[in-house]
Amino acid sequence: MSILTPSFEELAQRFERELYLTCYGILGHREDAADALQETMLRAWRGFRGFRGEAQWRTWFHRIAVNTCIDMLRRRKPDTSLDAMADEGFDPPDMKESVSGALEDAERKRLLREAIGELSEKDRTLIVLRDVRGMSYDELASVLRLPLGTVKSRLNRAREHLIKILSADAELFGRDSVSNSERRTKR
Amino acid sequence: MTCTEFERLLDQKQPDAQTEGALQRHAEQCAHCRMLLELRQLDAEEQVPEEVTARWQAALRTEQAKARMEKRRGTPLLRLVGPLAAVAAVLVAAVALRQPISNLAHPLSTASPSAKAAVQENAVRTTPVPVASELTGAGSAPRQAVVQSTAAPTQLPLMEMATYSVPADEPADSKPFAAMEAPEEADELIFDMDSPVEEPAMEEAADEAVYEAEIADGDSLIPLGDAVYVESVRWRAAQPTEALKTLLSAMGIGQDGPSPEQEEDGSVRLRLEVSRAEWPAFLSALAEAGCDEPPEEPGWTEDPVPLDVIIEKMEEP
Repeated sequence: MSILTPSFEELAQRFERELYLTCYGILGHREDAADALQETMLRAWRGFRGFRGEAQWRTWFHRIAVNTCIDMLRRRKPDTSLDAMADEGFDPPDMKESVSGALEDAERKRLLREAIGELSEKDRTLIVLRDVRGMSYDELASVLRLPLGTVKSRLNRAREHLIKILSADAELFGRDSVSNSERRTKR
Repeated sequence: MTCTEFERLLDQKQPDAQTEGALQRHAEQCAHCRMLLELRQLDAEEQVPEEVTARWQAALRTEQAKARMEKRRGTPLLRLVGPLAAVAAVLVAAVALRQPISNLAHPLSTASPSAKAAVQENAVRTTPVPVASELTGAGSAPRQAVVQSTAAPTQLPLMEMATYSVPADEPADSKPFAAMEAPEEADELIFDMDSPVEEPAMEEAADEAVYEAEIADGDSLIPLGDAVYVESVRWRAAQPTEALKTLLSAMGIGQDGPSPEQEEDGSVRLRLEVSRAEWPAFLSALAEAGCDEPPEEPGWTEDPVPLDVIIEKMEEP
């Protein structure tokens, strides 16, 4: 490592927020994101001495974070369905009634996150890195180690999927007046 | 404005008011671009909770302390071979040390008085013994052959390096230590004999103390060293949490810190640190306690992340 190489602690603090939010975007749970961030930092620290500078620090950290998140997604069991929970007495709050008409900002974000969570892990990763985190196409290609053209075509498909999911929420993006619970039932 | 121009403007780090206005106007007319704008603003107000920062920093400190301790102890192979080599060296030295007194008696008893007086053993013993040919000269072959039969030259102790001086006018045949030819590789044989076997163990004990102190300083819940799995367990609220608490208490897990956290979906989560030895028993006990989501084997990755793994994962159908 040269003298100009920043310390691991400096880098970790610099990218902490970005990595946490990337993990949160991909995993959809704050607690899982915290776990993933911790694992990412540990993995990055273990690999820090072996880093040969073939990638930017930001790209390198994100590659580890994405890898960690995908590992966690693969290990995670399928989420319990709302129907099954309702059978056991769980009564989810009706967000539509609580916002009564015009959707508030928090509700829009919640629905967006929910829609992202319904994407496949590949699509979700692309959407989070590009559209939420604002990573450039070049960075995205480097993180995912995919050709630029492949990244663009897959991203387009991922956006189409996301729009399709969101369009079911009429007040936000869509045309069909389909309620959230109805959409779940259809899927 | 086209959608391509919209995305390019969206990538600007700090767009001015005019650009923002243009983005808003286009987004109102285009659902696709409205979605992109919403997505970009999704995390605008999100911050990393302090406890999350504290948690990964504590984990990192623990990892660093562990690595430092491993470094001090050496590689696993060295830890295995080192003590064996030291013991072997001590044994070799002990066997060799039993021989020299009897061997020395013979040449000294047969030497002339002047030769005996000329022998000065140096207490420091740092200079190699002169080889036989230097002391005996060409005419000493019969004498050398006789003494060699006593096997004295090959049984010199490893650490017995002596300084000998012989008067120049002494006849070659009368030199008493002509037969004490040291092996030429004597210097090579004297390897690290200075480290007692017990020393590494004492050092390890000191390391353990430092390690425990560092972990305690890092606010770890239970300082069990590296023999710990960290895993969070989730179960539905309808499950018998009291039974689970009783189980955990009976197993001595989580007395101090962890308290169940309510998840958005109604499930309950508990963060645990369980020693590796207790892990299998813990899994089966969880199942018996009625937890329908027993945690899987954590399977922590010890190795650095293989950077090409992501390709395989992304390429999978």
